[in-house]
Amino acid sequence: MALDGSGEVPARDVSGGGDEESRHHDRISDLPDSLLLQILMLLPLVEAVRTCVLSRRWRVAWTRLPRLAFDDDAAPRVSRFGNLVDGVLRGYADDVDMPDVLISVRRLSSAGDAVRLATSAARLAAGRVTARFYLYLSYAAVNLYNDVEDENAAATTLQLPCFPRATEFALTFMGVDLRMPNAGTFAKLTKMFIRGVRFTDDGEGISTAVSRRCPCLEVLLLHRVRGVKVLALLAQSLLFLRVSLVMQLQRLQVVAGSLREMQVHRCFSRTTAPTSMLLNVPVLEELHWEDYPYPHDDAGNNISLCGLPSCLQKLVIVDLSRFTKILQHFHRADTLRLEIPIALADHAELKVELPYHSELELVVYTNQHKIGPTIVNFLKKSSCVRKLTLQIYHGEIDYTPCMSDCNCRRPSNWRRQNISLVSLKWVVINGFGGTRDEESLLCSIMKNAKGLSKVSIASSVYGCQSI
Amino acid sequence: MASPAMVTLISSDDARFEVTEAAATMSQTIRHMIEDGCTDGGIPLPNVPARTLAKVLEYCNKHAAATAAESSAAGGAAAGSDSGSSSSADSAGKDDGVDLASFDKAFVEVDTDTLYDLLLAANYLDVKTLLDLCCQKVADMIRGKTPEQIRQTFGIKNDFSPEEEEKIRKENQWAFE
Repeated sequence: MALDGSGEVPARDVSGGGDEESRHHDRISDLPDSLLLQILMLLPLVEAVRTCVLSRRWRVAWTRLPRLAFDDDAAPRVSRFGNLVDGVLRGYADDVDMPDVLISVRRLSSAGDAVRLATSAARLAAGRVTARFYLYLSYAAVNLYNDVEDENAAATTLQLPCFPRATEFALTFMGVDLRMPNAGTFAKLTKMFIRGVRFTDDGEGISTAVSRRCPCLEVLLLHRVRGVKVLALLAQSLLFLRVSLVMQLQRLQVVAGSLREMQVHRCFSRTTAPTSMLLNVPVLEELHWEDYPYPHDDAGNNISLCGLPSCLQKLVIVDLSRFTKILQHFHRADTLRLEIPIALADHAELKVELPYHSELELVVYTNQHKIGPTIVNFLKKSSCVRKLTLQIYHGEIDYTPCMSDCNCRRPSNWRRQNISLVSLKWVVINGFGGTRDEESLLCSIMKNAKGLSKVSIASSVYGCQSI
Repeated sequence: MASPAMVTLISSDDARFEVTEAAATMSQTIRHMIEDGCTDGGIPLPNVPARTLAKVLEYCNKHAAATAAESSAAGGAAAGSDSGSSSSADSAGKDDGVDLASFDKAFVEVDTDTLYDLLLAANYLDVKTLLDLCCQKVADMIRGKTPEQIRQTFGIKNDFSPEEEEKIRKENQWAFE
């Protein structure tokens, strides 16, 4: 269309313009396609589509929108959101690639409607999307785990087609039985996010799809997923992996020669079956660990870590008391972040050796206990630390009463102990409550760290002060 | 302080505008011309008449000055370490943001013809924030209106016969029901 004329400003503007005649001239329709599309992009999709009845110029303008963002919450509403999605995907111009297709369902939807919508949208978009395909059905809008009215199993199954040209794929659909495609290649896919779904093949489908059908996948995220007992990934291109609340996970096997960052968040702890893990990730830089196998296995002999680097840039361990074993696989982690409970029965975390580190971030929940002794015990293992960050939370979750051998009482002479902190230059304390315990700890650190040059203390009350 | 570098812009109707380089280079088109050394005797802009160019430059001057004030405020805050000076710089920055937002809002309160002129000029001169501002204004004028109201607002002539229009509505019924 109509790039002709767009570069020239009509003559009347030179003379000042704005006369009666030009005010009624239809100049918006003379705008080049690119500008018209840019304007239509700023409207809710359904309003952009409705401009098709304005005039011939507008008839198919919307069919080349560079982003199709469906949102059932955007006014003005249509009675059948599924029909809108269908109509737009069918009506989209044949001769251009379909760019981003983003579908968001927030209003309450019946199971049958939701599965129909997802199936149809995926089928219509699969071959054509060249950028992102996001399908988000909020947990509140549809949750097939709660849906008892529809007992027909077929209505809860989403057979995923292959998206050979899409670069990103994201699906959030609580309780849908997701079947991965068993043919075709996600040849361009770099990111895959799957949340809320249920697999009925013990994880074989997702393992095979990632390992064999996604040759350039870089980011994989699985969250709140059921029915994956074995997740076996052989993915040379993978850079980032997060498995979070993958219920019933018994075996995690990752062979990924390029993987830089891996996060494991409460998967094994959700199953009572024996668990095992095999990692071969030679260039891993960051590991975030918030998990423990059940039954709690202190020896950690069900974990096989081959091809794991002994040095990391960052190691994060949440709930250290329950999973200390992982620490011993690493000689060095430039930044070490540990979340530690203060009151403990078996003091397991006090027995571990810490890998060499130059930055230590400690996150503590006081639960009405004293933090001084525990922190000092950690600092004794941390003689090379250059920067210490202490995040203190004063909440009262899981309160354990203070016993005679509680960590917050021993050793009682901790205030007078000498700790070697020769390298410590910088201390940051967030959530400082100004208690005597905290003040004693701060004094102890400042007394022992002769080379300290900067201390930043922040609390919600006093703001940030630097010394 | 040295006086800022100036450039001369020449509109399609031969009016000359002297502006700071900082304001002029908010236009990527002009930035490229300056980089290519095409500034001798002024930069001709054969697609932009004086009336529109003056308006565009009003926008660029305002935003370039705000950017300069912001970066000098940030520099001042970094230099002064006590909390007093940094908090005053913070509030100055916030005022500028509010000021700029209300300037932008008032700037596009113009008749539709001027708005199209600005759109085309911003597109040709490649001033992204101005183009976004104008597109947003047009979109806001479309939003929430019936087709007939949109036609009236913009003077769009309905060149469909009633039967044709009915047919299109039927075909796209999923967007109207």
